[in-house]
Amino acid sequence: MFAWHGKILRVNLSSKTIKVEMVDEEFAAKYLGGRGWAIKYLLNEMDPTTDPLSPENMMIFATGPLTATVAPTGNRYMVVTKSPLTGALTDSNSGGFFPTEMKRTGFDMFIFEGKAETPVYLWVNDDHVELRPANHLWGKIVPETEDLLLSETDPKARVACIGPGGENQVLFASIMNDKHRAAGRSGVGAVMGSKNLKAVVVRGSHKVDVAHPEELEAYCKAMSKKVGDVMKAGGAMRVYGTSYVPPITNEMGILPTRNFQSGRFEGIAGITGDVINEKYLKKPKPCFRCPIACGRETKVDDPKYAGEGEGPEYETIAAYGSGCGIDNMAAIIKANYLCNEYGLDTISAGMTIACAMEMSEKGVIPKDRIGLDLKFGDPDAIITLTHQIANMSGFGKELAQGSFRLANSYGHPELAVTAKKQEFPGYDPRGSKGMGLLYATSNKGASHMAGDLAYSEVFGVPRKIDSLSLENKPELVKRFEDAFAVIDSTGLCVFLSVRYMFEDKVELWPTPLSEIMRLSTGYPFTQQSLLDAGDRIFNLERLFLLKAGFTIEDDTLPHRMLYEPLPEGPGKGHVVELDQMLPRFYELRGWSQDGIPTNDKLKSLAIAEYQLK
Amino acid sequence: MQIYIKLLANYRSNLPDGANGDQISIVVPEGISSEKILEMFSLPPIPESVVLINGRTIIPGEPINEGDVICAFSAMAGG
Repeated sequence: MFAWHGKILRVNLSSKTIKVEMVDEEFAAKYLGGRGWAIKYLLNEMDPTTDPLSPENMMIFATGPLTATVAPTGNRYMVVTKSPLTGALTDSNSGGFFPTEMKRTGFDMFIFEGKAETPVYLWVNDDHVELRPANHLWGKIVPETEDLLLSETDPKARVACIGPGGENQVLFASIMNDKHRAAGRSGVGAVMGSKNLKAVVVRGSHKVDVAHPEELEAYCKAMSKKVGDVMKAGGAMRVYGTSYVPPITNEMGILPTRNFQSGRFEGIAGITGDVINEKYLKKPKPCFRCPIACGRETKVDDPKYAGEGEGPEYETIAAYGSGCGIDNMAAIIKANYLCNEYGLDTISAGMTIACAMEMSEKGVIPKDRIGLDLKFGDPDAIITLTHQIANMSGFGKELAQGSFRLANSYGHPELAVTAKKQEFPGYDPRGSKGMGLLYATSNKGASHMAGDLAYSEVFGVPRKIDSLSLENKPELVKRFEDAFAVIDSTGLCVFLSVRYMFEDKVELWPTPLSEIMRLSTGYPFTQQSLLDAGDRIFNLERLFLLKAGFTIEDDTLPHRMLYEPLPEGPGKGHVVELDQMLPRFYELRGWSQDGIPTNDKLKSLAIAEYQLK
Repeated sequence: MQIYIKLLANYRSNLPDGANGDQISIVVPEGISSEKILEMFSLPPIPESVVLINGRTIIPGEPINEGDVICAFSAMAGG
């Protein structure tokens, strides 16, 4: 086999047993890698009704066939498990350098089962695999953990670990790698914490062999040059990373503001990429083989918010900034640093605090319960509450459950802006209707990474479409969901892939990607076979959800999106007309109007064995 | 007629002196197209350029009216 090693490492933390398993090329190609391989294992081996924080939940670290190859942005891995935040499946994706090093150990995937009796970490140095005690690391923040692990393993090793957020099982704790990169969403860090697994440390020397090395290198070099030329000619991402986005979503009236009470923020001037570049940017930081370099190394000197690290990205600015009514960039960056150090998802953390701010202002939560007079626009509050969340202290204990549980516990579910209990990312779907359908139908709850229709509705990729129209949205959402399943499973980053790995037309036809997959793996992939694999993966994930007890009642959006119109901006007066999009979406997916994949659909995807009984 | 030009992020540097932040008001003849207006600001000829009118996707050939805000930016991916 080429590009895939075909080797899986299985670690049972309860029994401390370690096994190596092999997969064949037919399996590899049918499920691609990453998300695809992982869901197959979860469906085969795990009861989907399992408590996510119990030893019976499986947690999988998965790379893709293009991870650690010359493919531009071939630097991703994902953590696939049952989420404690949503109760659904999640695949939380990260880049940096850990994924490449993980692939170079000679394994494509690590499967974790059970629960260690006391804290441990996994050390994989090529074929040497060892569980080591981690008592001395428990309680330590991410940068300190990584430094200690490198000193006791290999200074050139790479680390993925949890901080106190994961140890304390905050429902939106992340797994951090390379100190500042995050498999951020859905509480994968809490699952790792529940297993007493503090870290995974990898060092590898296995080259990833590809089928046609010279042709692949030439093809990828040309693509990287094309992207580099765009960057030089006027691309915003190298200049700003994703922080170029706030003025755009603000102009479109879809920038989450004060817990989605508005889509336009009067403090926009304080939260732009220009503010970061002028005051806080040290330098851009690329992941492995990335011609974009959207990462930002930053430093804050203001003594009140002093620190050094990476970020913020757009999502963090939307959550902790406009979402909380805050235009103080130093405070937003500090909150970002804290989330990275503690291992928390900045989106859910920021948006949950935003929800609490609205509840506090409306008198739903008494001041003495919170311990402070919590209001939108208070920069010190986001710092105080982030500390409390990670440490499960004071009111942070309630916030650590996420906004859905918080708002419900006070009898005001309408104040939580979540889908399948996960906080919305930074695009208000009342002004970007396709995003509304995406959030409602995503297998992992509200997530732009499930099939980011903002690419078309906001950024013009592959071409700009009317964000307020419902026309063709079910078709596009299905195609984006399938395409993202493919991108994730191959081990690429969506930032480059959506525009450059697909043909420049609205149908998202993966011509360059299929060429790269053929040259890498030697397997005769076609554009259609790749999209079919994405469809297959999406359907397997849907089956997991159905078996876990989800129904069409869960394919919905919160009250604010369905019944409270946007108060200003181009989308003024709009809500999400979900009921006008869902039936067509189910039809296109080959599902019944109860949201269940039909037997014919499963047969056509060659996964008939998973029919619901 | 008077209209407003808003150039976001790195396109902001294409605005002439006298701009108010990322925006400037200009007077243009009736019937002018958005393409013609943007040519005046020498934006890079890359497919990554996106144009909005009053915050909405512009329809090719859409007429420009008094007071409209024409907004342009360069985008590669989401956030």
